[in-house]
Amino acid sequence: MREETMRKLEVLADSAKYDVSCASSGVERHGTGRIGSASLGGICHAWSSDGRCISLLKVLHTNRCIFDCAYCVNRRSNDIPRASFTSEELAELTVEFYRRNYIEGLFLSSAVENDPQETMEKIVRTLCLLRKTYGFAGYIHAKLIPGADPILVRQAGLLADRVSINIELPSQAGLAALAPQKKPALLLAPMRQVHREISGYLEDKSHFRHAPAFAPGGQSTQMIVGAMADTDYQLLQASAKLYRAFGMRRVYYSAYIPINQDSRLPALNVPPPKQREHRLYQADWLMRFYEFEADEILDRSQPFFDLEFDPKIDWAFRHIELFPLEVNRASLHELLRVPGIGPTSAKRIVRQRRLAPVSYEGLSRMGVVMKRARYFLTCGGRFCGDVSMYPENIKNKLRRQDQRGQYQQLSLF
Amino acid sequence: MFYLYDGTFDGFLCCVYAHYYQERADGIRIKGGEQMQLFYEKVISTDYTISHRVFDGLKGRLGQEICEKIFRAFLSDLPGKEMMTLNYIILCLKGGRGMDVYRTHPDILAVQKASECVAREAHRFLGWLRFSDIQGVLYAAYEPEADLTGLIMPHFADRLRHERFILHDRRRKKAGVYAKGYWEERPFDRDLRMYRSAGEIMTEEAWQAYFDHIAIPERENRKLQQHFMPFKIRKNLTEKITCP
Ligand code: SF4
Repeated sequence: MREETMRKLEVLADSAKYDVSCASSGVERHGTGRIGSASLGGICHAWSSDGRCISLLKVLHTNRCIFDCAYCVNRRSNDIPRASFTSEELAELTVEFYRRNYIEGLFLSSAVENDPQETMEKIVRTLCLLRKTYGFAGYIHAKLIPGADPILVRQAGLLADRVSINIELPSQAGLAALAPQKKPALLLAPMRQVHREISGYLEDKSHFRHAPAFAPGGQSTQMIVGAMADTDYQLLQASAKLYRAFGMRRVYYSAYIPINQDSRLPALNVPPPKQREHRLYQADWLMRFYEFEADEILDRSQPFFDLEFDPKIDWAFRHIELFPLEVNRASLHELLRVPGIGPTSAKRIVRQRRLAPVSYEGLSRMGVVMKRARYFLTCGGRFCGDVSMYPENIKNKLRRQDQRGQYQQLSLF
Repeated sequence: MFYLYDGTFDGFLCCVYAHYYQERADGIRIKGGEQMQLFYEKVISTDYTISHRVFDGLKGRLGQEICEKIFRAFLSDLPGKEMMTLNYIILCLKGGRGMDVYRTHPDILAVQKASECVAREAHRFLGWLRFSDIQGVLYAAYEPEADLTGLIMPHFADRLRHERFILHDRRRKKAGVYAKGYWEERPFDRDLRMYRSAGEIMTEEAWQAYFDHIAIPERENRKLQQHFMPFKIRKNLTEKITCP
């Protein structure tokens, strides 16, 4: 390790840190290559002082950028230290950190140094070095550079476990205002290509066991929350569309941190809207694991999240006439709608009640959070909410619980 | 009858055998060095042919998943884990594989919880372990609550297949040692970290620098960090967490 590499690492980590994704999940791989494996659930190695998990070595290849996106630290007009890794340097650094179990792999992103093509070539070259020369079989997440040749996009997908391109803003107008050099078409084309290639790979895999894997960890993207006046409803709709149209594995949300003085953006002293970000993740979760549709969570008449109560319990308040549900009769889909019941406990309930009716006491042993669920269910006809079924009454009860400090929520990110 | 055994999983399986083929077990304990043996106590010596037979039998009747639960629950640090695990085995053998879904039964719940707890700790250590390169051998020390070495070694044996490495459990004074495709556990009680070279320390500093720079200062959240990296594991980490 040379002093020079160390200095670059500091600069290029600083420049990469605002990208929220760090997941190493979605791929299971053993016994290939010379070093490394991947584990389906992903593994977190450390947590930085902001409480975020560090799973991958998240760096930029370079932070020298010809573009000038308003929200970005690395934009051309900012006066910050600049650096670029060579492919050799970066591949060696990754393997040395990996051997020591500091990381699960590499998350390689980049600013656009001279032109998109050249930058993408450099990324692909580094991935090649890692996979082919080092025989590295750990996790790799690679950023695609808008405007790069489809052939390079394909190569990146064949080498990486996950590829991504950040949409950052949910609307064309937003993009035009804040990132005028990024044409929406240039962002969407690689997403579409990746979606097509992944479907092709999945199709081939069902016929030939050795079909070359294309981004087996899927593709992801990120949106900034609170840089423009977008409503939560718009963000959630955009996100639902991204899941549907491009088969996204994950959409990440990032509360905008004012780092640049810019009249188009919130002032420097505006705190990042962390609570909105948190609600978006919860809503996203509801869409992916709880069979909720975006329209059910928010609509035009209610375009923002309730900041006091989470979207699931908020939905229950708005549909209070459906509750209380009888746990011994409700379908899996209905159980998933009960606040305090998650996918695991819902499945446990369905499995257990085939053998014997579920008792009230049994519920918490199955992982149901009774503090919240009790207001929304009956068990063998028994209701233990100890309050009449009006949202305001239940809210007051929950507020009192919170005050006693019983209900403390850890943010996911 | 109170059975005394050597503390290993194989030894425990021999007690299970004794429970079924000799006399009902009222208690199972690790045998202490000097302790006098009382008339209602009996030392069970570990016999691998028996333990393997018991394990194969359990696997055949209860399936892989339940056997893994039994193994993990046994590795936990809980006092009385032997009887807890035995009671679970008895219930499952009586009721068949389906017994396991009765999470509402206290004996089943106890083993499931213990097993989940051990699995969780093992998973977390897959991330928390830090190796140092000591003259080409990777060395990591840790102090887990449960006896995790045997659970964790396969993961690293696969991942670091062309390396040689030592996974040192400081609490139990033993290590998993891997080289050339094979690993074994053996007694071990030396701290190899003091032999780190200057180059190794430089790599550690690079990681430390990365660790400090990747955090977003505007979003500082020490409580969350502490939740995921509790104080008790920090002394074996490479990254030094500076508190403001
Ligand atoms: S192209 Fe990327 S790195 Fe360059 S300014 Fe825009 S967002 Fe930042």
